[in-house]
Amino acid sequence: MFKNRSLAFRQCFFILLFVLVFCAIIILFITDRFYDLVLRDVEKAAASMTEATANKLDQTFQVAARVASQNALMMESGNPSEKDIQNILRKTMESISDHPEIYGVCIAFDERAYNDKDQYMMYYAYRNRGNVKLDKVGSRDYHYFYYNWFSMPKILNRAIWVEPYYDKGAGDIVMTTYSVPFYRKVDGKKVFWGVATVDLSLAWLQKIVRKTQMYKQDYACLISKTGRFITHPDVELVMNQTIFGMAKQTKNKTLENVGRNMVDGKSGFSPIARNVYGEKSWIYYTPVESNEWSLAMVFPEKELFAQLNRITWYVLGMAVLGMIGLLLIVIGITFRVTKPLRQLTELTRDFGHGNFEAEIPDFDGNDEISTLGKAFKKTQKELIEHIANLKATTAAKERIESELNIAKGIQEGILPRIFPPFPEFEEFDISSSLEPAKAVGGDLYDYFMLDRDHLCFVIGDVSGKGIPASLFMAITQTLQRTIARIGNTPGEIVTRLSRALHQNNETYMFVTYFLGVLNLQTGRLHFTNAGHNPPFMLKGDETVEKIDTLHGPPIAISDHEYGTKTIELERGTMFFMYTDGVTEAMDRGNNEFSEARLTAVLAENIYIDSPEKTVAAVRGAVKEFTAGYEQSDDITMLVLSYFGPSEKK
Amino acid sequence: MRFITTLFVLLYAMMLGGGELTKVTFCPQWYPQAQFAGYYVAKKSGLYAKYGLEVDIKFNPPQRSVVESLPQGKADFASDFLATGLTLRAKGLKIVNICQLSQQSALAIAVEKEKSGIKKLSDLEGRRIAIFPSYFKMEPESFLKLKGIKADLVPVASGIELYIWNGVDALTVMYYNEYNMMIESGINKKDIKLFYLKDNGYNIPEDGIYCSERMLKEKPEVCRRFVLATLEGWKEAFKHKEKTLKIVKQYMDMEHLPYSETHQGWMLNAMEKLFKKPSGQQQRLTADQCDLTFNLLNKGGFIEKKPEFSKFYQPVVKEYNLTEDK
Repeated sequence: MFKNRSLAFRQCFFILLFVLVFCAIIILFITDRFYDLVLRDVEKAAASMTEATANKLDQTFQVAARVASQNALMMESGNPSEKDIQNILRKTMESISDHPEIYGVCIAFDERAYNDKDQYMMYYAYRNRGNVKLDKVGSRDYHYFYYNWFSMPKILNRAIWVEPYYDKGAGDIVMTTYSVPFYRKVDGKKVFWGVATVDLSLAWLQKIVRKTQMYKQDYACLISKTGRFITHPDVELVMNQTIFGMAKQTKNKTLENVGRNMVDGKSGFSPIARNVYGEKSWIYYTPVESNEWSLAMVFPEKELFAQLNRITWYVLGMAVLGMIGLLLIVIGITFRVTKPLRQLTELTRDFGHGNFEAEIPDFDGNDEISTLGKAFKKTQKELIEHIANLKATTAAKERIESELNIAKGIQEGILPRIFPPFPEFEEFDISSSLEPAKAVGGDLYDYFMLDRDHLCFVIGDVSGKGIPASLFMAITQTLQRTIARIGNTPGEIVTRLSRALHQNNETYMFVTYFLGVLNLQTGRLHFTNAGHNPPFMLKGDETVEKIDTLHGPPIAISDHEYGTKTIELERGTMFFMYTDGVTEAMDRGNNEFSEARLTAVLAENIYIDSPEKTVAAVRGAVKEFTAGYEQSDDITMLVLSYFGPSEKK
Repeated sequence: MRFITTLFVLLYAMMLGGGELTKVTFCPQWYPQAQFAGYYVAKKSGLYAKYGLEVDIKFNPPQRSVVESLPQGKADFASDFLATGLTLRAKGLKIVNICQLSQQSALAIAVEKEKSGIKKLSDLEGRRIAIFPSYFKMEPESFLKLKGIKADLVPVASGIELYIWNGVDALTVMYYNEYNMMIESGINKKDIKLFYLKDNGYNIPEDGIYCSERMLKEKPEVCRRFVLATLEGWKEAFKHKEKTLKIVKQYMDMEHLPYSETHQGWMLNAMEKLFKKPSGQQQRLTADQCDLTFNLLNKGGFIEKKPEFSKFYQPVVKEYNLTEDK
């Protein structure tokens, strides 16, 4: 990811990454600490609020309980008549007129316990539309002995607050009852006689609980000893569902544990995943001592931590702004610093495309980038000069090469090249080949008729190669035709030629030279060899004879007098001449073609009638031998086939 | 078969003069709850009407057995436990069982193992046990007597509260009701141990539909239609439980009873299990089962003479499946 990105990007990225991580750690740390602090504060506030409400409930319960307890005592002290009972109840209702939560009071005797006549004996006084009503209840349809408010204190032998219920028989409302058992003595033993009760209206209790509220979205919920909801914002649950049923329905194990703690009378502060509105919340619970109910207050977390969250958002906002600012600064600085680098990068690209003229800005300053920039500028200057030089040199070279080609053409022009050269002469055939090492070379050959019966042929090798040799070759080639005259011997011709060349030869160039004159009618061959490779005479019987005579040093460097040799050429004889380019041709292993090999090749390639074949064969053999290795010297061959005098005359 | 019956019934109803429905009264044996869902659903879904009946479901407080009111004509049909029905029949009451719904006993004695220290049945000796009032106390009382356990029996309509206040060591529960109420009141399921009557040799089925002998003799068709509609009602109730619970809630709200969706849902599922006929059993109520009931209640001192099975059990619908769709 980073390989292809710019320096600026990488720098910015890593700086920002570090800052981001660091900031995140700080923020998390601070938020965590604050969270704990806030939570502790919230718990304290919730505890005080919940406990205050629980106390209020307790007070209400205690006040009510006292009423029933008093009535129970009154039953135990003496033998109350029915009228007494009625009065007691009515008086009780009057005394609690300023306690609207107390709905009614009753006194109920055990089955057939009040007197032998009545199976049921129960009086109930209650509020009814602003008045107090007193009813005598108890019948087959209201067989109250099975009801919990009667049977529980009887069985438990103690006063008890009963689970809220709907009492159809005496009240028609949902209430909770405090029931106090009273006893009488039968045969000296204390025997259960009946209960005195007080009923608390649930609606009133709910009103008291509802008054408590700390935030907007919190709510209180009161549960009974069996976990049943006495108050809850969801009215469907009130008196219907228990906290355990709700926990089962929502598969909320935390709620189940909280419920168990509540019914066990514990206090606590616990998080729960979802409140009735589906929000994450905290619940503070505390017991209501009187009847072992439990009161809980549920706070949605977002309200509890509203302030903290706001601060956190502010801090985050500032951090983000800070980061943006930092980002801008870092980007600014980085780009400014790397601007010269980018310029240089662009320049390098331009250089790569061949544009060396691009403007390099001046770098003042002594930092690394300025140093680099200055070096770049210097390099650019040198590069431009170097390229200008190169261009000039190349142009000059091309000019020379084109002139060389022209020179080559001229040189080739002065060498006889038409084959067969003398088709009208049946006495002989001649073939040649010249391959210069460079564009122009120093080897020469020539042949021309002196008169009708005399053929003059030449082969030579100017010292050196290239243009100097070719110029000297041109001079030599031109001179020899001028100087060679019928009547002169080859020695005389060669001597005169040598002297002419020697005259203005300040460079001391020399030419190995072989000149021969053949009498076509007699087959007599006169020749002069000035330091040149001895030619070979090839006969039809496959003999190769080296004509070894030497008459002096190469021409053009002295005023030497050259002699002449004469030999007889039989009919059907080949005269093979060559320059040392043939025998000194080298292969890759620096081995020379050698005279021995040439001799061998000639022996097998004697084509009297077709001298060009012999030439081709030797040329092929040399090529094969050198195998592409660089040609170091001009390779020249001149082959003459003598058939004898012509028959027609 | 069912189709032909329905057709016949409709024709019969039409013969009666079109839209006129026969008015009958039905009394369940306990407070409104999912235990009687089938009847509620049959009424609210118009199944009774389909069978030409207008059924008034009356709630009677469980002090007396509702079956007792049948011969007097105070009610036409009633549901009650087999034990109660058999006992009343033995006492001379001219009532018959026309349909046995419950196939298993759901009665048990529940304790908290750790809290009470009661590990086996005999540990109940000398302890305080809450039992149901009225005729419902016959089975547990007889059972304990038979097992030779002398315990202090406290009759209460709902023993949960008493138990929570530590007024009793154990309480009698119905699997479908009080047992789950214990759990929904915060008692840990793991801590509860149940001594089922059925695990101890007395798998006595419970809920059945009863009517007076006279009713069956004079209006057999009405009885038949009532049972058929009720069975369809139960089938419907088990099939669409969510809808059923809403109907149950309506009936419970009328009596201002606490409605807990989880608890009533549990009850409905339990009834489905209890009404399922065990495989291999031919009839819905067998003479053997009645004998077993008689033995238990006889030992308990509640019945002396065994009623005649064929006179007691006269099912008006021969074969039916409540829990599978056939």
